[in-house]
Amino acid sequence: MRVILLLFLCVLSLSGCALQAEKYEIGAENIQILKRSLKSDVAVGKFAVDGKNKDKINNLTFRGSTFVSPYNGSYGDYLQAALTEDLKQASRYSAKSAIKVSGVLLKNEFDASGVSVGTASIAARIIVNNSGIEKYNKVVSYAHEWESYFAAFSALPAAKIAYVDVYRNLLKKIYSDKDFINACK
Amino acid sequence: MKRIKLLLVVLPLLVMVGCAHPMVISPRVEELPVENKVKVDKVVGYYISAANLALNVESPGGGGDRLAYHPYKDIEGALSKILFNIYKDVYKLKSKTDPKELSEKKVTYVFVPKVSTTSSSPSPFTWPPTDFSVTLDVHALDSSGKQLWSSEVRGEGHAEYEQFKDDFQLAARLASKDAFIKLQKEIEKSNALR
Repeated sequence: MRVILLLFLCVLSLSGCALQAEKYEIGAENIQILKRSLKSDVAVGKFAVDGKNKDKINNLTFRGSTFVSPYNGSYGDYLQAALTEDLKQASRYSAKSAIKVSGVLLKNEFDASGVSVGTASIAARIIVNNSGIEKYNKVVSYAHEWESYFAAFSALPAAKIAYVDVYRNLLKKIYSDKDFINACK
Repeated sequence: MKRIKLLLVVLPLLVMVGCAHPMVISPRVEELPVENKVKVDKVVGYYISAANLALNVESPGGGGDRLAYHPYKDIEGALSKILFNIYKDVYKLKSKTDPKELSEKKVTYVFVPKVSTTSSSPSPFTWPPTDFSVTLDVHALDSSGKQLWSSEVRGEGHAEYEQFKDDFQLAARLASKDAFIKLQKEIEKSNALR
């Protein structure tokens, strides 16, 4: 088995195969903010990827290998799924609600090449419509750093864990914006 | 060609060195019980110190390798979730005894967890743990800091290669899920925490 693992790691490092990002996991504070602030149920619409930067946003790499979104290969879908999961866990989600949050992922940069620090930077336009009338339209961004490693088999899981934090923190910024909460009334 | 040969030599050497594999031990929150239909009409808080939230723990994995994780950061979502299952509102607290914060947030009980873990794997070939345990030693204080209740629960998780090959942290996730299901039951059956 060890031989197989060694061969696998060698091949992995040489072939540039696809690696999958970790699925989103909710953050405790996000749920607390939503439960306390959001008084209405909310639906989640499409989160598109900025057309001009689509390839750059969806084609992240980890040391030569592609780092693929587990949600249909789209990081716009990743943000959509993360928001939906937070709202469901906060018991504030309804697909039938007249209040709908949608958006466009504008930036999604990810650099795990460093031997001691990894970085990520993300920006999204968030739109809230209530019965078809736009109530909120803002660009929200977040930058993140994490401890990285020289060895890929330590650096990869560290990057996967940190990438979930990127979305958690971006969403926390959105939920903490009083204008967003007011638009969702 | 020289670079490829060098990589082929260096990579196995790196694999042989007992390294630490970052992972998370959080349960999948959607696998925990859903919120109670009738909740205790009280606001509660939990306190995890900044030092504990940043704490990075290493414990044994397979093949002589080590596992590295942040136990308090990883379990925070599940702790908040099970408290929301029972109580009407839950706050993350900056202090467990600050009367101003407790009064402003109308917090009745403060839950303070202590987390300890064990891990092991008999495999000389693969690093993910086959056995993992999470012990939660939780104390509940009133607004004056007096201890009202305490309970210790231990959750265990086991995952073989065929089960963990898609999620290397599966044994840990199962252990923490088991621990939090037990913790919720312990809180629910306590008269002191009604």
